[in-house]
Amino acid sequence: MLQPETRKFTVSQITELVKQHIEAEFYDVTIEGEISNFRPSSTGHLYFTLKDENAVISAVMFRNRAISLSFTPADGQKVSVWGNLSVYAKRGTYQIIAERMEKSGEGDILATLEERKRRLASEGLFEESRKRPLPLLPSRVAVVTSPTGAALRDILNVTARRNAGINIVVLPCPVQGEEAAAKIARQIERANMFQLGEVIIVGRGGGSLEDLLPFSDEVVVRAIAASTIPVISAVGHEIDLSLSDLAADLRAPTPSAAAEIVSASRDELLARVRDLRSTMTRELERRIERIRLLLREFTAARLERNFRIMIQPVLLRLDDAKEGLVRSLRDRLVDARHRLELSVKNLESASPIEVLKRGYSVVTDGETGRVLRDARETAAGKGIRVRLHRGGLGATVEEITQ
Amino acid sequence: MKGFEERLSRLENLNDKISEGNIPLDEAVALFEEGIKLAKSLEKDLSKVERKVELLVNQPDTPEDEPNLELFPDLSQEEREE
Repeated sequence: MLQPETRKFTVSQITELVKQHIEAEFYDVTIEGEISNFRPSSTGHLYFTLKDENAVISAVMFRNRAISLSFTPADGQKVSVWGNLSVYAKRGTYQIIAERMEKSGEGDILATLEERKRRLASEGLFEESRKRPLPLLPSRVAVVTSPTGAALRDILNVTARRNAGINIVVLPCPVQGEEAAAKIARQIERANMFQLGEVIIVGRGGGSLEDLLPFSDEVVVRAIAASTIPVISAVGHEIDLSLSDLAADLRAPTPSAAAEIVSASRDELLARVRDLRSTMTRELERRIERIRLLLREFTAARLERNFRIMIQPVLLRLDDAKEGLVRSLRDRLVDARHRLELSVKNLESASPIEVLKRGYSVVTDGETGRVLRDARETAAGKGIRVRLHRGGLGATVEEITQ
Repeated sequence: MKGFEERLSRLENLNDKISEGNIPLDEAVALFEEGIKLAKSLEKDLSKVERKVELLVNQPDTPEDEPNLELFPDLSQEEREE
């Protein structure tokens, strides 16, 4: 047990403990009750009280959550509120911070829709593979909606503003209430039977969950899935979701958006066609330019120049060869002259006159003039001639020695 | 004339062929001429501005029935003319 001392708190301490306890314990809870004292603030937050016969609890729904409400809350409405309890220490109060809120009974509707969605999904009605591509350039669009509703007005406005040249066939039908679903489905079938457009827009403006119910009706979902013409669903506002959206080939967040989608393609297509045209033109010009460049090589001046470039090395080699020839001829001449001079010099040194200069003499027979090399070639008393370096002698042999 | 999508894909096809660059020039020129004709017809289709808004006024239920279309008062256009 707690000691008395430990059960003593300051206001802040006890409030903090209460806050921790409550906020941890009552997290993600649903409270059912009736709205009273509903006070929307100028900043968009909703303040109100939930009550039943015996109790009340303060509630607040902040703006970021309030904007996704599918209805406008009012005093006396029975609602379910999802959220977390929170303690406001400065006032010693607690309240529920509402994350989501729906009218009582809506939960049942949502549960029914959820069950239907699962059933139809299991049949494959929402399969991605069933989705047909939208025509690139629809010339006629069938619009299944109320002829007096905001959806049709928006669609006509957008297509007129976009100047899309799209013809429109309106297939009128109620878009809420008992009979709506069957009639919507029938008009989708008629659009197919008589080919009243290349694409069908099925939709209506925003409304309460009940208002939008026909667009989640099984006959409508099946008619959309069975349509051979592609279907764009455009039901309510961006956040509203119907089963039609799941079965359609494309879900547009609003009727205006659906109209934009069928018109928008025109601008893109025009850009694409112009782009193709200019790349094609550029490509051909490029090819022609390339050929022109190739042809330029074949002008007389270019050919001559190219020829010169080609024979230049040959001419150079010829020049070199010529020069080499002359040079080697000259070299050989010089060489020959040297050799000649050398020979003359050798010859001169071998000349008998040179020998006579050194003191030798040549003796010849006085009668025959033959050069005497052997003493026996003459005899005592015979005449001889002696040739000296300068002049000669006539003499007679006196004696022969061996 | 062929459908819009068919002509557009032919134009894309011609563009690819010309860009490939391995076809003779005279052939490329012929393709180019065809392409320009296509581009012009496509642009003409795309620049169409007049439109008609009609309302289905009967409930034809069998293919033998005739759908009865009447001109729908196009409020947006009337407003624009004012």
